[in-house]
Amino acid sequence: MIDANAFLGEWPFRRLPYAQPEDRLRKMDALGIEKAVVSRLENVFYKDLLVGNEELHAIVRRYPDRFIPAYTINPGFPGWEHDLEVCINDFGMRNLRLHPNYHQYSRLKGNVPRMVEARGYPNYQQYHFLDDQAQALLGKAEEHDLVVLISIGVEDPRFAHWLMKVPSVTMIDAAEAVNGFPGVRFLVCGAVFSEVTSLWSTAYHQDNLYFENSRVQGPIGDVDDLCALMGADHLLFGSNLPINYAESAKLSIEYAEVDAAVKQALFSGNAERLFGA
Amino acid sequence: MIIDVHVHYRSDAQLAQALCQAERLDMVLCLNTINLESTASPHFPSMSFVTACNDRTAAAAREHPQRVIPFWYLNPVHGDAACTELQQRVAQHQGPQGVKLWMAVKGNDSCVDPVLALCAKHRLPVLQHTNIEAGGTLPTETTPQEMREMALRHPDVTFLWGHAGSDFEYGVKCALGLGNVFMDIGGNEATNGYTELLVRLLGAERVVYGSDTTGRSFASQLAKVYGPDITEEEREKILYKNAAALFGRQRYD
Repeated sequence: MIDANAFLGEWPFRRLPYAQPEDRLRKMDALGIEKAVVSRLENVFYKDLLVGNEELHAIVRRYPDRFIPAYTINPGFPGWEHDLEVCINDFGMRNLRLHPNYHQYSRLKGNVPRMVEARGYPNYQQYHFLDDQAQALLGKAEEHDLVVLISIGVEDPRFAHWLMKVPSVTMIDAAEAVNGFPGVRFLVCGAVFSEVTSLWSTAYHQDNLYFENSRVQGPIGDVDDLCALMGADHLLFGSNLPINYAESAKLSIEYAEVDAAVKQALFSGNAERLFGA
Repeated sequence: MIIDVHVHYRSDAQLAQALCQAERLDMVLCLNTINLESTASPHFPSMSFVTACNDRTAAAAREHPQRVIPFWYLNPVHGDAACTELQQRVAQHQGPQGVKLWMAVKGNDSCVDPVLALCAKHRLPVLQHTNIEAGGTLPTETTPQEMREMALRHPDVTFLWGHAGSDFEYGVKCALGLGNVFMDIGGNEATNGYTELLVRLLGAERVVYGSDTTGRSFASQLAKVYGPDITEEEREKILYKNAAALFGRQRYD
């Protein structure tokens, strides 16, 4: 099995098991997960993302056969070009992680009223993909053939800290990226069922669009329905560890009423193809 | 064996799907119905709507007696009519059963008391929807604090604490020291540490598996039982032993 969406590191609001590499490897072994695509969890909140990326690089160098790094860049923060350059040149970056909702920069940039109104969160703005800097970053991703992981949401909003009410990235925003860069391979992470179906139906180009199932936790028959909608080639097993129980994504595929070959594709085949793992 | 204490269905097709999966997983479904075929679920249902919902539940229980335990949906605002509805359902069913209260009125409202008195009489477990989250609650949703008040005021009623409060870290603290509640783990995302926290603070004796399917998948909610770092004995209690004991001491006459 290949876990297409996971994090290493601590979450500020709750002590989570399997946050550190050695614990994670034990959990992966117990579940039969050979490799995991990982980002630094602290980079959801850090401003200087290079710190988290350096830590991630050090971990991955210790376990190159188990962890596939996805380095995090915030195009809304000054100096992102430098971070990207370091990640590409020094760390051999192949995969790029984006958190458009957590990496809002309303204090740094002008308002985008459409975004504010759409969500009903008066003080909230995320960067959106039509922004110059986001466009430039996606252009770089295309130039370097990076797989782009867009994190739609990281945790169940019911559990959010009262000072951290961060809405999910909207599917309009995600579609702006997907539709604007048909040459880029996108893995949409942390989307719930309705978000997956919504983005799939609004994407102009679906060949390079992939989803993982960590937060697809219903309705009944969810994996079956997504395979029927998108075909089996566009859905990947993802745990969202350490935030979620990995068993949710695993059992969801195991219980699905699809062929063994389809399950194999979801558990590993699609990820092998996407990440060259 | 598994007992799922929290199951709804929106359409007959979804019920068939749930029953099919329940068969494969050797699962008994505590089924309540809060909508008619493919309709929305009104927060403030009329008496006739409630009765029609319960007719669907009763039919499912009759057709699948090995797989379905009916939970009668009630809107306590309807007073005597709600009590009559419950009395009739209990008299007709004569088997394991329970009651579902949703969000027509807060659970600690005095208008709920007559319904709960009947539940005490028949030893019917009461599944009460609860919710609190940073995003806010609806005006008539029962918060964990109100659920606590409800449980303290009715010590002779056994409550299934729906969604463990939604914000489970908040909910579990409100449940401390209560001997008549079971935390239903269904409905929210399978978040690491969730079940471990409930077991650590309340004991596995106070936790029951629920899924909130068909809105949720069984798989994602069973992950809260199969994923946590707990003992096999604790897992069995959560999966079925606690719930089975509840139904084992019911009186139907």
